[in-house]
Amino acid sequence: MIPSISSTAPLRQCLTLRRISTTALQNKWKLVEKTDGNTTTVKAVKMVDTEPPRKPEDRCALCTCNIPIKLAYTDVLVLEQFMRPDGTVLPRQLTGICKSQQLRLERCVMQAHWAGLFPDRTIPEFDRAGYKRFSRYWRDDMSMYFLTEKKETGTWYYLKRYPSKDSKTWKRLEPS
Amino acid sequence: MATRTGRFARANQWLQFARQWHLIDANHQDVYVLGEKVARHLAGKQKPLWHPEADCGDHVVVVNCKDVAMEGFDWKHRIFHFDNQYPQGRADIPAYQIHEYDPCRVIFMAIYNKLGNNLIRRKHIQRLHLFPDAKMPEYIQKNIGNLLEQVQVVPRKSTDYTAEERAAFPRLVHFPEDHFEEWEAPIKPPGRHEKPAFGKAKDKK
Repeated sequence: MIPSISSTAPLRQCLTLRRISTTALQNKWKLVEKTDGNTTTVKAVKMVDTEPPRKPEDRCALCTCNIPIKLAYTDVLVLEQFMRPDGTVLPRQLTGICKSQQLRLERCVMQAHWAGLFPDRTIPEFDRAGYKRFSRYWRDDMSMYFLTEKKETGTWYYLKRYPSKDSKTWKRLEPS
Repeated sequence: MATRTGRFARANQWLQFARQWHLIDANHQDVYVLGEKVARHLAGKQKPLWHPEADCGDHVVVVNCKDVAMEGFDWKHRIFHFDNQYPQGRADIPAYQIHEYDPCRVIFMAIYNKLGNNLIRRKHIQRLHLFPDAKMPEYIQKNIGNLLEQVQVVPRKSTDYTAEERAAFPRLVHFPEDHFEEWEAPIKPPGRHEKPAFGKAKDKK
């Protein structure tokens, strides 16, 4: 088993106490352009948002529990809230998380990209050549900084019982 | 320790004296952790009646060998040293090149190493059946009687979650009061600063 701490369970416990309001929350702004002939007016309009706004005295969203949450690259639903649609991480001046969690978040997002967990949020020129085509996993968010070259003795002994690539003999074996 | 009783346990006990056929899915499983488990079942060490002289090994069918995983950058950094004891017969090949050539070879070597250095490992490895994907011939498929548990949790992609699961998940991001939606849009990467060649910058001015 991968020793990754699933962060969803403590999150659910601490987020059961939510701030409830009767009116629709309008705490997000949006720019709307209007063109009348030669004049273009840009107006800031309030948007409906499901969550209340963050106050300046609020704590970091990833440090609210008694136990510090250790994010892992498999916590995809947490990671994608802090991401732009092109797969980059939002700055912490907008999201309001502390510096250490921001660094951890960036590492986890990068690992998730490398593991291919965000197939629709990567840039099209993301490098998947060579060894990057094959599936990989991460034990820890820091494990990419401890690199060692592992030497192994290969063996020539090999039993190739079934064809491992598409071949004519393999196609003959298939029931048609 | 509580003993298992009942018909099912009794049938399983008698099954241990036969050659069972186990199936395991190698999708997103570490090569070496998986190899340890498969080698254990090939040698029959999961059975309480195991003895080095008892021939109680089982057959293991491994499917989806091409999707097997390694930790971190191990596909590049794990290097196999081949030496056939002849001049110019040495080669150091990274694991991913072997995996490109034959998707079953890396997992074969991992299992063969885990079987230990003994005289019966060649007989045990003959009961291993490796398939690069989910396809297998009919005569193998009808033998299979047991599905082994995977050694690792397969991570879910973001596209695998449904809209309901997403909606039920709590939102952690709280934006400040004066937040504009345009700030969440992707920005153009600033690129690298290219140092002008010597004397060029002055010429432009």
